[in-house]
Amino acid sequence: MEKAYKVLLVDDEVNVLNALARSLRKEPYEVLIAASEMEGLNKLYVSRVDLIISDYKMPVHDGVEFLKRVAADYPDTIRIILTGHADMEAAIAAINEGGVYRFLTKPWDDQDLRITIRLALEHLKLQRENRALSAEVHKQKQILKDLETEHPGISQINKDETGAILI
Amino acid sequence: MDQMSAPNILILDDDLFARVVYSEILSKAGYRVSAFGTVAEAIEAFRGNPTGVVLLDLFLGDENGIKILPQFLEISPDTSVLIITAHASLDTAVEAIHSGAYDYVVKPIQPEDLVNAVRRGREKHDLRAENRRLVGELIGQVHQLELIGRISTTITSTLELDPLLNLVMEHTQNLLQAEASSLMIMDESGLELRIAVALGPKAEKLEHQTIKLGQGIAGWVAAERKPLFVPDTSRDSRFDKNFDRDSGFQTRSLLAAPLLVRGKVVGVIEVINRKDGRAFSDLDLGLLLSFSPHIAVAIENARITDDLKKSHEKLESRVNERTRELSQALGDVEKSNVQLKHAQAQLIQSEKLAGLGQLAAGVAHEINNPIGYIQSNLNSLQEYFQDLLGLISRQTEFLSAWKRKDREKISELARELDELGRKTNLDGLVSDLGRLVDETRQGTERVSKIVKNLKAFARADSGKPEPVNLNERLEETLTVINNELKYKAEVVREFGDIPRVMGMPGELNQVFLNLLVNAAQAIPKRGEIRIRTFAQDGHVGVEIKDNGAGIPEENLPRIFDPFFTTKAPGKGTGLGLSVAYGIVEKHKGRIEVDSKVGQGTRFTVFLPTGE
Repeated sequence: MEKAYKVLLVDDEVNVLNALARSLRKEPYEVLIAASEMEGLNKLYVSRVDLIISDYKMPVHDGVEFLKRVAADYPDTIRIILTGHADMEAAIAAINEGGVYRFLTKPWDDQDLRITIRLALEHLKLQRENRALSAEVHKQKQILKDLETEHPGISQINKDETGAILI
Repeated sequence: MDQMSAPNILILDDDLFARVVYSEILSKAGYRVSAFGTVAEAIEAFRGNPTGVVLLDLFLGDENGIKILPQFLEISPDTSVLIITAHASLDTAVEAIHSGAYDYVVKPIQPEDLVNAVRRGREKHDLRAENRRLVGELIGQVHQLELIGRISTTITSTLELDPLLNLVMEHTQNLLQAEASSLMIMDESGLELRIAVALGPKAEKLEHQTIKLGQGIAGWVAAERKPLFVPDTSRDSRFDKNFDRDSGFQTRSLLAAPLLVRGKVVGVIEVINRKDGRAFSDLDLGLLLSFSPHIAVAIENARITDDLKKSHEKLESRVNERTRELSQALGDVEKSNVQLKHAQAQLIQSEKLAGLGQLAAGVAHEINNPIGYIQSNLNSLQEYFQDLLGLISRQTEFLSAWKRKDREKISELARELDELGRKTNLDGLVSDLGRLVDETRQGTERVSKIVKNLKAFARADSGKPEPVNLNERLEETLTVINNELKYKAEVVREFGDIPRVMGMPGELNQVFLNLLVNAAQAIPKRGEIRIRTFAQDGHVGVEIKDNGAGIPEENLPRIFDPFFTTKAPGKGTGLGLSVAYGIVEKHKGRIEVDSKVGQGTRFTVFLPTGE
């Protein structure tokens, strides 16, 4: 059975990635791991990732820079930070500049992490549904508009005093 | 040029701009300055007018300043030579001090520092000159004293006044067959006689009594400068009867003679009552007068000796006083040195604490990573066990059904087991168990290593130098600041086979920490930090090289100055390098720096192996 969502974990420590993957192994989404920002960008490019969890301080690139780039290239992806640097300035920068959904600190609580991811995915699902629905509504409206141009008055519905529709 | 307008400071610097600036500063402070750009000119001028202070730039274009220094001192040893040096060459400045410079001023020159240093130099020069003059004076006095002493001993056997006079009076009394005798010495005012020697019965009562000029027989003799022969005191109105009343002695007849040296009365000699009861005669007076001049000369000699001794003592006490003052001044300097050392130690401590605070955040991350996955892995392990226990209990049920040959149950459980095995991903779980335990163990090892190194790093030194393996110290420091470095740079270690050095491990950690943190901060995005250790000429060298921003040339002389920082306010104390410099200096080592903007910086710490 194909899982509906893909979650990408990015951290420069493989042991952290393995532990996270273990604690998420029974969750109803697929877990991908990347041990560097480059690998992370690669996975993003190859698979459609719904949610990304990343440390914000990593070798090569600043984690915030990485997340900014993800936000720019994949705006539909939910971004969560998981870091050992519990420093407020960084958290604010990450949330403002990186458009981060949540800021989690290490050591993390497995249960909290799982709940956070589920809520985020629900959030994402709602977003997508909402977008799909608005698109549908928009499409319907367009059809109506087209009909009205071809047959003026066709979208007008007239009723009599009893509520019966007049044709 | 007259004395008033003659320069009292000479400046030798090949940099015209520097000459103008120094001249300006010192002229404003009231000094008369002459400045020269070449050694030859300066030496020639100095020979004509050896100034009290010479300002000497260490790195003259043509000759090294240290080699010129003795030339000045040879011409005028009292001159204070003040060295101007760049901070990076402080060791040379120290060398200059060993060669006779009295102090150094570090570039860039602060006007007040320069003026103060010159003022100290002048004071030192004046003190040295005055001391030299005093010593010369003293030597002259001693020579004079020795000469007089030699002449005097040919006349008298002793220069000690009191024993000499006693001896003379005993001889005189015996010679004149007198019952008693006394010797009176004129005081410095010339108005009063003091009884210096009194011999005979009741004589002790007279000792140290004084007689005014004109009072009694002795007073008359001193005033008139004439000898006197009194056959019967009861018939002479000049005799002061109070003496007899005071002493309880009866004076019948006496002889008195003034003691004259070059016409000046130095004392009076009196002999009293002939032992045979007869009155003194002219003959006796003649006898007394025949040797009284010798006594006079002896008294005068002894007095001169005494005076000389006193002035010698006075001089000596002046010299002693001056020496005391000097040594006190020296003591004050030492005291302020101790205070400075103390303040420096406190600075080092506070810098260390600031550094530790900064490290704490980094170390927290280092520890939070492994703690994170250790905790998570333990949770997963528990879940694995629950899954496995569920499987085992189903398998046990399956086995008992197998034994009962309950076919229906067997097929039901087989289906369940199959499904459960798939659901728990049994194969994956079993193969992951070993990895999980391994990784968790790695985590605990990492945490304990970090804590151990942090403890080693932060420990207080015992206060006594101990053998230190710098490679180990560097490893320790690197673990502690790994978090600061790994996001900025690739750390390349080129550790050589190096001997131990004697030192304070904690302080040396601080030095490496400061240099490594600086290196990381100098790198804008990502670069390389190369750490090399090597042994060279009785030293161990530790080279820390980055390929970061580099230090602008105008900042290079100031980087070791306390509180010098190019970071934003509140971002750096400006003490890191200054503290490092202080520590290395304390270890009798040195720090060399080599930097190019855009290419990077190399700091090399040299520490003596102390063989």
